[in-house]
Amino acid sequence: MNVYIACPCGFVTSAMAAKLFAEACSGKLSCVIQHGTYRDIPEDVDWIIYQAGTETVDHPTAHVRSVRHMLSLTEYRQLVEEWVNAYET
Amino acid sequence: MHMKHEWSARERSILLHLLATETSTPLAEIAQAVNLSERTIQRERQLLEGILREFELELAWQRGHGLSLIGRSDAKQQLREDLILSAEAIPTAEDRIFELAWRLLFEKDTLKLQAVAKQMHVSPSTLTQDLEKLDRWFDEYHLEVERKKGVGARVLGLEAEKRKLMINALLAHWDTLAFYRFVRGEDDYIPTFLKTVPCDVMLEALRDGYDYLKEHPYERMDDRTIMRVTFAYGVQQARLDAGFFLEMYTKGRSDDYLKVAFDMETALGTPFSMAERVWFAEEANRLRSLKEQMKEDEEERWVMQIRVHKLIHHVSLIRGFAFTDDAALEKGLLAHILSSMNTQALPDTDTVRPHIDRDYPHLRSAIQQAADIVFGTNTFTEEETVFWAMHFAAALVKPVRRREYRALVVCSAGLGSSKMLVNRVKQEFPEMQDVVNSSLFGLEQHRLDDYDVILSTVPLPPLSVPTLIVNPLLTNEEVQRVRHLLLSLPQSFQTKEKSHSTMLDFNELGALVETFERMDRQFDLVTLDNSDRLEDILLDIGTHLEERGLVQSGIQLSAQLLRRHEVAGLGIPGTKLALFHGRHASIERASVFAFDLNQSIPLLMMDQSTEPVSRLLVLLAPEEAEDVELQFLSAVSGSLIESEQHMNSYSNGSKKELRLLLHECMKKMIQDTLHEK
Repeated sequence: MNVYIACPCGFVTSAMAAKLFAEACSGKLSCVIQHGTYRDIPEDVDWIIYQAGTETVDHPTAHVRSVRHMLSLTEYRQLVEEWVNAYET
Repeated sequence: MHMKHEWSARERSILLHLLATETSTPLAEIAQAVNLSERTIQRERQLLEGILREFELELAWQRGHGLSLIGRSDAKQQLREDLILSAEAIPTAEDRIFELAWRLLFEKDTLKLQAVAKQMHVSPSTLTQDLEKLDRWFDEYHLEVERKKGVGARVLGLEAEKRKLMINALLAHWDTLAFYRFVRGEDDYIPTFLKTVPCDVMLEALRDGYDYLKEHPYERMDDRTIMRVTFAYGVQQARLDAGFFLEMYTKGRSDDYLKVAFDMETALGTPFSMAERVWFAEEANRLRSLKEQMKEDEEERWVMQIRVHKLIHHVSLIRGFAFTDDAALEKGLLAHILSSMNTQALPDTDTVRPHIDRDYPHLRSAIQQAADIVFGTNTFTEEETVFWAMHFAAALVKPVRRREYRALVVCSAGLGSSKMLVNRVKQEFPEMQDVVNSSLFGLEQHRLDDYDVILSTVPLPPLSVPTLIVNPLLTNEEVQRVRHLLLSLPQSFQTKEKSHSTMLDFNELGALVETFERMDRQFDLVTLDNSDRLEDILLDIGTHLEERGLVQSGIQLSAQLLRRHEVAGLGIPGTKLALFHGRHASIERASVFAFDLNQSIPLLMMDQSTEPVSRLLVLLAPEEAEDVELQFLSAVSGSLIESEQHMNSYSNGSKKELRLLLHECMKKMIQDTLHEK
């Protein structure tokens, strides 16, 4: 599964968020995490995560999900949990 | 005259790949074929657009379809020639041996090896090794390199044999394409080993000789024969000019060609002695027939071997697959070409051709292009190249023994039971080092072709990969079944990934180091005598960076940073650090900077709380930042939250400590690059 984390400049918030997200996924969800700006969202992505209230993200096939805090491990753990429950069981 | 462009290996491989396909090629396909990332290709695309305009070609990019080269076919041909010829520019060890041979053969007395080593920029021991290799080669022509300690070396043997050796060396190393460019007046296109030796007389004679020959009709006018006779004339002139005359030459057979020799010397105003005339007539006799000549000359095998080697090299370049490592291919192809020289009728290829074209699209056209370059246009028939394509195709599907297997373990959820199964598989099959688990839902996310076997705890739809249904506990009986299955797998199985070359990509590494060096040089920790207003502090920072030439407008930058801060807090909770960052057209260079405040101010944190901040770390990137710059800035951001110790160092560390952290990120990126190759 391909996860993309977006932020305005693509190299600070999303880079840190990607690290946290990987930690939240560890042992629960196997995925490839990429990060970058809103305009560089790749076509081949399954799940897009971004900061609520900053931008509108639209994608023809991926699940798009905003988070309240980009740097909250707790929030990412919760997201992963929800994903696994919804799609992996 | 056409400008010769200095192509990088990367540009060359991308463009040759595009030239080999008529339609748009998706980036992913190009990336896989040329072993680069899609991002790199996107970046190269922008650089290539400008260069291609010089060739009157357009590099068209269409989202979802990929890249294509648009332009006239002669412009494409020009580009192809340029790309291929530029690949020859770097001197090889082989070139060095030829250069040494040339110097030895043109030395009247003895060649002082010490002095030659100096001229050729190699050590005397390298030269001694080269001489040993040369011995074997010279031996075929009954020539001997006599060494005298402290004096030097000289070549013993017949002049006619020396000339034969030189002609063959030229024939082997001068690509047809390059030769024709040269005789048309483009001086760059001579073999590398001739670039460092005095050979002006020969080069001039080659042009004269070619001009004469091309105006006269002979039985055999293929590129290669014309080249051979031209080389004979050039070598003869160079030898005569340097004072090397034939002792005697009595081998003459063809009166017709004595006349050719006589006419040519009259036309070009270089009268020969009788021995020289007979010698040249013998050479010109080759204008008779290529096939007969192949039968006659044993040394043709040697020339053909080098040509076949070159053919494989060019097909590799055009096709984007390294056939060059395949010794069996070279041997097979050589045997085939040499034997077909003696065969009048080739078997019918009509039944084979469609299969080759279906299974290996563009392979035949790549071979045809390479053959035109190496042997000259139309030297070999299309029928003939169908057989060559079979040799190349065989190399593409050649069995490669794999050391380890890859298994995909599937269960409905991809969690509990498949994890258990993964552990059991690892325990029972140490050779299966790569065991990946997946849920039934996630199955389609995997490239199944990358796996040798799929083990599943749930029934699966029919798949292209051998699949077994097993218990998550993997009973002993099931272990046996899996083992049987593994044994039955064809040895020829290969993953989709191509074996990576072990060569270093100096361009990429160079770019990386250059970027890091610049960013390290620019990095600074500056203490600001600040007010308590963030706007003032950011303006100070903007002015500072403007003075250092990193941004066009300090005011614009400060406004940007302020806005970014207002959208979402930039302070890192629990530290006294805030991470100001931006990507904007007014930013000139990607950079990392740190500013200490002499009095801390309260700032909005990333979790929307407010805390005092006394250090601002500033990460900036221009709108069109290089990938490596963005990756580096990302690595710095990631490194911040890597550990408490890192966070502490970023928040309170000295300039030196901060630089150490940055260097750590750089080292990691360099290591990643090295491992990726």
